Amino acid sequence: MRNSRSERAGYLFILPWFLGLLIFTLGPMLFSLVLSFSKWDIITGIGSIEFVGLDNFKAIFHDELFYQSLKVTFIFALVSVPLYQVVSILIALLLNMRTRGMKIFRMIYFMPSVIPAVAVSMMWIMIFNPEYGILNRALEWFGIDGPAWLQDPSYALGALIVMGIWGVGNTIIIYLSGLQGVPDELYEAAQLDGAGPIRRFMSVTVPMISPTIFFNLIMGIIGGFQYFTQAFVMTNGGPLNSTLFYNLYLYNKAFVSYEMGYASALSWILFAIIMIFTLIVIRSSSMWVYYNGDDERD
Amino acid sequence: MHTIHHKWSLARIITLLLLLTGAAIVLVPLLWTVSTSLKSPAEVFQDSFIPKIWHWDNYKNAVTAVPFFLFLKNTVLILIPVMIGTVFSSALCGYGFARFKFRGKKFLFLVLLATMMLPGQVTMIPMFIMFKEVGWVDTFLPLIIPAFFGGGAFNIFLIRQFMRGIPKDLDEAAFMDGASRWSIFTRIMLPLSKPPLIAVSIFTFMGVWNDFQGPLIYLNTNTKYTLALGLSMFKGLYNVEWNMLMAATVLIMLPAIIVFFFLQKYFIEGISLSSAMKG
Amino acid sequence: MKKWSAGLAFILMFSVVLSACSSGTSKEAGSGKDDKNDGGTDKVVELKFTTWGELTADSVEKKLADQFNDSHPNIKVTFEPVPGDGYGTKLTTSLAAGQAPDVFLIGEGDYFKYVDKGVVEPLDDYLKSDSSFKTDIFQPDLINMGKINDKLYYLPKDFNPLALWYNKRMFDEAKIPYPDAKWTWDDMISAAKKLTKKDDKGKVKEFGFNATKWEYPIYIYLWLNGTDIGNEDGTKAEGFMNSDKTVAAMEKYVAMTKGDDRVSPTPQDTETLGGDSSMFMTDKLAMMVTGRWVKGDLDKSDVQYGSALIPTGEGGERASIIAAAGWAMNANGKHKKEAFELMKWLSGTEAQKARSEKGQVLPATVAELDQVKSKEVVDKPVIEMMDYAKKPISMRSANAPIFTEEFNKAIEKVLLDKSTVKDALDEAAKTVDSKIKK
Repeated sequence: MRNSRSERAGYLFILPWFLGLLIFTLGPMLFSLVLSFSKWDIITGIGSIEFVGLDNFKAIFHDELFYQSLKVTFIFALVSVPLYQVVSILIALLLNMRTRGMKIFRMIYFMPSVIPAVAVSMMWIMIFNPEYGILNRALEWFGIDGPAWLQDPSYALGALIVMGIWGVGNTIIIYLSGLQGVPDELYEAAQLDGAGPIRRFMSVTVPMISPTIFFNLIMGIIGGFQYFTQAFVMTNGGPLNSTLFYNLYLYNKAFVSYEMGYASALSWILFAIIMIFTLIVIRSSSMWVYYNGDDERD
Repeated sequence: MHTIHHKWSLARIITLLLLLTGAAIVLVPLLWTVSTSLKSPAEVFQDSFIPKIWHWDNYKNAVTAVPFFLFLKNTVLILIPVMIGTVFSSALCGYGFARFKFRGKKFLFLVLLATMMLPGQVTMIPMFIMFKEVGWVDTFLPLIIPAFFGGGAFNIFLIRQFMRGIPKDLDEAAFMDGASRWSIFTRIMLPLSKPPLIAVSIFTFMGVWNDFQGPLIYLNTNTKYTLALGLSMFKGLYNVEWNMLMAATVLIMLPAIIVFFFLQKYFIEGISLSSAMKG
Repeated sequence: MKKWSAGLAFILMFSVVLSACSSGTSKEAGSGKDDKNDGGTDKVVELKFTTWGELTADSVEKKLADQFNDSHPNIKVTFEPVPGDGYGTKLTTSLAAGQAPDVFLIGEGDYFKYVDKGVVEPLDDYLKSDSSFKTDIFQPDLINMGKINDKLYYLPKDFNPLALWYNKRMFDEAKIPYPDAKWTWDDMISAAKKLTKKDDKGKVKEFGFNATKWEYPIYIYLWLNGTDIGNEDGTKAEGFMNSDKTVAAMEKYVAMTKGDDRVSPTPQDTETLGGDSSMFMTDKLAMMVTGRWVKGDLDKSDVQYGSALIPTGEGGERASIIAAAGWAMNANGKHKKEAFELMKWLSGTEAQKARSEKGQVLPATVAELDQVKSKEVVDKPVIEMMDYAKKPISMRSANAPIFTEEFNKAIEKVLLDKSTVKDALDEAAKTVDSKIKK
């Protein structure tokens, strides 16, 4: 029902965002695009920006660390995005049950996401210590000789992925709010049809929360490719660059060696990668995302 | 009848066990944080989990070392407008994207997502220069005003997803009855979108509460500092005062946990379509 | 290579939009822009200066700023402390935007870099035209540190010479005499072996010495072995980073953290146990080479400690590094004359006294330091170590980050058993030289 009145109303409702885009977001984005074709030693101020054409991009494609950081980031995103979604949905389902005491459980599961990322990271540095950390001490009870989690290049990335599970509280909340949007009537109807819990989950829950899954998947991809703080605090890219995440490399270029032009070029390459994955998810969404409210496709 | 009941309780026990295990995994590091916050500097790295002497004075020191209540006031002064701006404007825009058909919508939606794809490390300096040019540096404005312009792509997207799941018959029926778009938004969509709006409030609260980078860059005068900035002083250039840092962390966590505890009741009410129809 | 700032155009475009909505009540935040009293003779110049830390209400710098304002009616200075965590980011951002304070504090590790980029103003001309202020009130080493390519850029705020710190209880328990002035590194390592204790499972619970990954103690050790990781002006690594002397010295150094008879925690152990000072306080570490700032931590606990000269090389040579912080003038500041006045005050005798009285810092001026030397026991070796200070590569060359990055990577490989010391350093030297050529 596209008509001009409804169209105008639509524009009016999104106007705050659109103005914000023009005023606050677009300028800095374009600025960084311009910088990606420039050389800028940031601490010398804005007057020293020099146009260098494609030099940054040419240099990037010969940069070993660029490929290393790309590899690390891809592995992390491909493993952690699906893993965190599955874990979050399962926990959200448990927390969505209406039992006494659930309030307390919800609060407990949410608590990790209240702590600032830096504090969380420092805590996990202690947990992961091979000799003194509680993780390896716990493994010792089972007779397992735990590895040097953050110091061994073959474990460090895995350790960060595992650690991330501890912090999925935000995703759980979003799933919880999605689960709340599923009308009770649908479950009741399915139960009357004799559907067991698994079938109820597959044929009622999943389709009904598919918009939430869609949301979390896209945000997971964006967040996964931009993973930064924990690696910055805990490993700073080491050992032997095994946790050199893309954004960490970018940050080092921008704020340690002050090559803002190079860093901007890196950021636009990352932008393109994330955009491709997002588009794939959006294109595929017509096959699996179901909107109760409309039949429009994304 | 009896067997069904039996199965139910078995499932319940398994659920409970799973939840308890998870809760333990979550809680142990948290309790460690609290225990560290109550230790003396010398005791921080000893094996004991429970402090020998409970140093409640760590909390007193964390509060008195910096003008804690001034920083708290500043944080709240930023927090309240940002919460209002974010919740309201992201709901508006989310509704716009969820319920209307207009030219260029798909493209604009992609632009909305695209604004999240560029790492903050490269947009930070241009943003700063921009706010400097209008003379907003060393005021709360750069931290507050953007919240009123959409409240962030993440929140708009979240609300849009939820609103698209609300059956259209509800608002179409009201529209037929002559209700305006605005009253449909305020009377039907907003009340039905409580869960995601609560989620948005919680995230916004936490975002402002824990934000270090924004206040660091935009605020110069230390009487304008926020809590997150002030309490970071226990992490020095050469060393970390772990017990103090953890006391500060606990202090900063507590309000967020309390806020969550009170807001979460909206997560358990659930939505009943029939009651929404009546309401 | 034409200068280009199209980006500025974008920014300005959006700024115009913004200014339109801006209420106009916001104060001019630019560093000391005199928007009022144009041309008036009694105009007040606004200045800003910044340091890391000092967020507490009783900050010395804040008091110094107030006193300066009282005695300089034509200047209004504002002190803007920044949390240590974010100092680098904040300073970088404000420099990029041309919004940096008139005077800011820099750590010695960055002295060279900021001069190299041209963001710090040389002070020689100001000193020449001002007979009231002489740099000979400062310790000569500290003034020398601030000189780069024969020009003076930094005035000392405070400094922390490196020394050897030891835990008296652990020495007493092992019945070993405290470190003395005659100790060589070999003496120290053999003492560390006696001080290292394992539990019944073979896990080390008390370490004799901390052979840290921090470059400064490593440089000192290399200097004592007659070598360095690069040449004097930081243009060549081949023959320095991988010389036989460097390889032999590093083999010995790394051996302290590796294997069954290790005497030192790994960098990760140290991090987990809260850093060297925490380990030291809890009697888990007997000796460390570190800066005087550690005293602030140690005095909070009841640990019995002493300081000693850093051990010598085989032939009795000595070397040390001074960690220091100096005031720098923003080369793009608007009121440099007034900024120099402020720098004089912040580094001068009164300020040195005020900081020293507060406790944790040694005064950078000769007369005041002599006073401290005559009273203090713990600080005596620390102050003596100053006489042997040398400049590490980071204070000699803009290429230093390339050297340290490759060197650290090589040592990391060795610690992980991925390579021998020789192979790792050979490769690192080659990489450094090829990167410098670019």
